[in-house]
Amino acid sequence: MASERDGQRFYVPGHPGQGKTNLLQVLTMNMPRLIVIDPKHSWRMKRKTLGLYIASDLADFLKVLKEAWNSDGNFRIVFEPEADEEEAQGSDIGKLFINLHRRYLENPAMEKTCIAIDEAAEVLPNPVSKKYRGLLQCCSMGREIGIDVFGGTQYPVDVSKKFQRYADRALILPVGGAAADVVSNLAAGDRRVLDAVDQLQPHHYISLNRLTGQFEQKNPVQLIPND
Amino acid sequence: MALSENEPDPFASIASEDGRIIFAEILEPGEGASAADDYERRITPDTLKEWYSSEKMHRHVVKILGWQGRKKGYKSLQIDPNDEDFRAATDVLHKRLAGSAFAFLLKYLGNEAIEDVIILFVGFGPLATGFVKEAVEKAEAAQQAQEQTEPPKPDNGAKPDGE
Repeated sequence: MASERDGQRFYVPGHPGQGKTNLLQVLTMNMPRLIVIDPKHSWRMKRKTLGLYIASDLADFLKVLKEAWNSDGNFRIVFEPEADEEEAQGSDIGKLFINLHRRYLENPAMEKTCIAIDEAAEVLPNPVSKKYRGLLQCCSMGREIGIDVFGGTQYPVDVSKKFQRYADRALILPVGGAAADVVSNLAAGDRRVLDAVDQLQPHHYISLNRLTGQFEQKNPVQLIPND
Repeated sequence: MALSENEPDPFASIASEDGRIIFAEILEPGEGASAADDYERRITPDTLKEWYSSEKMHRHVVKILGWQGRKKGYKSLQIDPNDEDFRAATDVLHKRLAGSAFAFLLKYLGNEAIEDVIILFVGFGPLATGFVKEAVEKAEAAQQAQEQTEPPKPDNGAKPDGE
């Protein structure tokens, strides 16, 4: 039976300029334990506003995370992976949190961690290499080990099909063209959802619960200014 | 609150090297750093022993064998839980299982798998034994019948036509 402590998977596709990053930032702005994997370096402009620490290498990332883990347990860290290492380093972070959260069910004091991926096509490409399945494991185990995974992308067709299947919620910003098939899969062919996505105004989005098939149109979220 | 309070430091065996995270604890002796790449390799014999302890297996085996014994009328399956020899044998079996590929299967099948295995052995064991016994008896009977219908073989050196 689902509980609030269960990890959830959100898939956030949308064309460039429709506000995916801003939507991810609003959704995660109050989360005390947040890891952002940001290949585009687009979160650093709001690091003060959002209370983020920017880590550009894994050694720095581990050091800051360890300090936070062993103090109050809260952290909001943006990791900027190296070019061409996005998949490997993202996988490492996935495996790391599977390790850190393996006692989640036994420890009611432990809070959920959210991993937000702001360009999922880079970090979870289709298909994900067998060597780099750490984040997919996070998605498959995340419900039991309290890890939320948010994956935003402007290239929906290039994102791991497995990740798309794991997503129990989709927040669909205006998309079109080749992405129509992706939306159709997310909505299990529900014509009402497809029509609603087709008619979306810029920056609006459809919130779709893939488990129940329920959906609703949402207005644009507040715009978070740069620092 | 520190998340690792009263617990071993979860970062103790984790380090970064050449732009990757190295999970030292999951490496088996002799394996390279690339072993950490695959999540499944975290399932080590130690993980399995933690998940399904020797004591737990002993309890299960004694309980299931006793139950099956009562059900099928086998006194030999009633094991004394304090029998040290049987306990030692279970420990050896547990160690062997935890280090084998079979353990991975048990891990995925779940807690009931070991009970299922015992029930299968107890259920199929007499069937297999009975079948083999019956097959041997039939083969022996067929051989005896053949020997009775065949003419006696000549003695060594003697020629059948009397030459």
